[in-house]
Amino acid sequence: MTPRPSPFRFRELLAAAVLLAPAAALAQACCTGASALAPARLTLHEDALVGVQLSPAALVGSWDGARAFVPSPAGATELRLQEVLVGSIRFLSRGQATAAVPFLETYRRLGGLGEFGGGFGDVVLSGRWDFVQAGESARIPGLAAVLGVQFPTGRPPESAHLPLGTDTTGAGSFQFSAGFAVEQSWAHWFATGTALLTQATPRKVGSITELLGLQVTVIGAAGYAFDTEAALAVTVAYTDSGDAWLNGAVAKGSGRARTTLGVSGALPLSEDWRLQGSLTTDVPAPFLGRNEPTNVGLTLMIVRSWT
Amino acid sequence: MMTMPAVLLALSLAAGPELPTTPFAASDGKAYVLKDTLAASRFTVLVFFAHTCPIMRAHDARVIALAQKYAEKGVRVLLVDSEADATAERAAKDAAERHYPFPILVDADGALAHALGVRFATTAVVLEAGGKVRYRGGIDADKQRLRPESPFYLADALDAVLAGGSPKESETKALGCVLRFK
Repeated sequence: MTPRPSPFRFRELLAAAVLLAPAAALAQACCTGASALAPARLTLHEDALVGVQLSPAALVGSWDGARAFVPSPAGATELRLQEVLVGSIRFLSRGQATAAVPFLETYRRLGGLGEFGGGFGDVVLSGRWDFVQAGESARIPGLAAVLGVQFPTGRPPESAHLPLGTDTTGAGSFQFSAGFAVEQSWAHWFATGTALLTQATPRKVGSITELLGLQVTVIGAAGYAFDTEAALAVTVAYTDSGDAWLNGAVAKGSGRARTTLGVSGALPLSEDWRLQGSLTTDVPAPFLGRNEPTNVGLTLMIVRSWT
Repeated sequence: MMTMPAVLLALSLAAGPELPTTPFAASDGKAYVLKDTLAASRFTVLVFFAHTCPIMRAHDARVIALAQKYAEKGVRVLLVDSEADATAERAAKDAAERHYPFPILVDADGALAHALGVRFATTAVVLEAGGKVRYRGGIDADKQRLRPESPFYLADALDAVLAGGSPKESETKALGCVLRFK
C-alpha cells in the first residue's frame, strides 16, 4: 500500500503534544508536565494560554507494507508547513481543555510536476484531567486521563482538486482518542509516558466505505529542567494501527505504523511568554514503520499564558 | 472557580483549623509546639518551603526582608518543609546556606500542610495567636521574576490584620512548586 499524502493528522498533534508539552516551568516538581494530548498544555498555575505553532517538515522517504524503509526517489520533493493556532483553558482546578485549529501548506514535486496547495486542516478539541499532579507524592506518579476529538474540517484526499493532492488537509472522518498519562519528577529530572487509543469513524469514498483500524499510540519522554525554567527533553513515539476495513472486509496489509524521535526545549521569555521548539524525525530504519511517510520536522511555538 | 473540597476547606480554615499538636523539629535544633509558638506572637506567618524549588529560592530575599520589617510589629515568620524527604539536618543546612534568620520547621509527614490545605511551596499562611487563619496564599503574584510593581499579597494582608481589619484578599494563588508529600 502506498503511503498516503500527509495531511494534518491527529497523531502528529499527539507527538507535538509531548514534544511541546510545557517543559517551561518544569523545574523541580514545580510544574512538571510532559505528555499531554493537547499541543499546548497549561503549566501548573496557568489558567489559560494561546499559542501559535509553526512546523516545517520535509519528506525523506516512507515505510512500505513490509516495513522496509524506502528513500524518496531522486527528484521527488515534499515540503510542508503547518501553522496551528491553539488555546487552552483550565477548569475545576485539575482539568484543562484545548482547541487546535491548523492550517497547512504543502509543496510537492514528482516526475517533473511541481505543485503547491493548502488550506484549513482538521480541528482538534481535547481535554485532560489530572487525578494526581506529578510530584505531589513521593510514591504515586502523576496520573491523568486524556480525551480528544478530531473533526473532519479539512479537505480529505478524495476531495483534493490538485493533481498531486497538495490541497489535502484532513483525514475525512472524526477521530476519537482516549488514554492516560503518567509522569513524575525528581528534582530537576522528569519523565512521562502516554498511551492512547484512537478510533476513526467510517467514511464514504465513492462507493467504498472505509473504516481505519484502531490506532495505538505510546509516547515516552524524559528531560531536565533548569532553575531558569528552561528545559530539554527527548521523546520517542510509536503509533500502530490495524488494517483498515473496506466495505466491511479487512484490507490486509493496510495497517500503519510509525516511530518518531524528538528533542524538544522550552525557553521562558517572561512570566507570561515562552518559546517552545522541537526537532523531530521519523526513524528511517526498517521495521520501525509501515505504510507511512517519514518526515524530518522542526516545530516552534510561541505561547502567551495567563496565571 | 472553587471546587467543593476547596469551599469546605476554606470554611474549615475560617473556623480555625485543627493544627498538629506534636512538636516540630527545626533547623535551629529546637522543637516547636505550634500552639505555644503561635501564642508567643501577635501573628505568625508560615511560609511553605521546598528544598529545590527555584520559585522559593527567588523569594528568599523578599521573605527575609518581610520578616525583618514585621518582627517589631509582633509578627514571626517561620518556614515549613512539608516534603517527604524533609529532615532537621537538611533544614539546618538550607537555613545556613540561604541565610534565613528564621527556622525551618520539619513537617515530613505533611500534617501541617494538610491541616492548612497547602499544596504548593511559597504558600504563606497568616495565623492569629489563637490559631485562626487570617490569610492563605501567595507571597506575591510572581514566580521567579520578581516585579517591583507586583501585588505583595502577604505584606498587604499583614498590614490589614495589624491594623485590626481583614485582608482585602484573604485567599490568593501561590505560584510555587508542588510539594512532594509522602
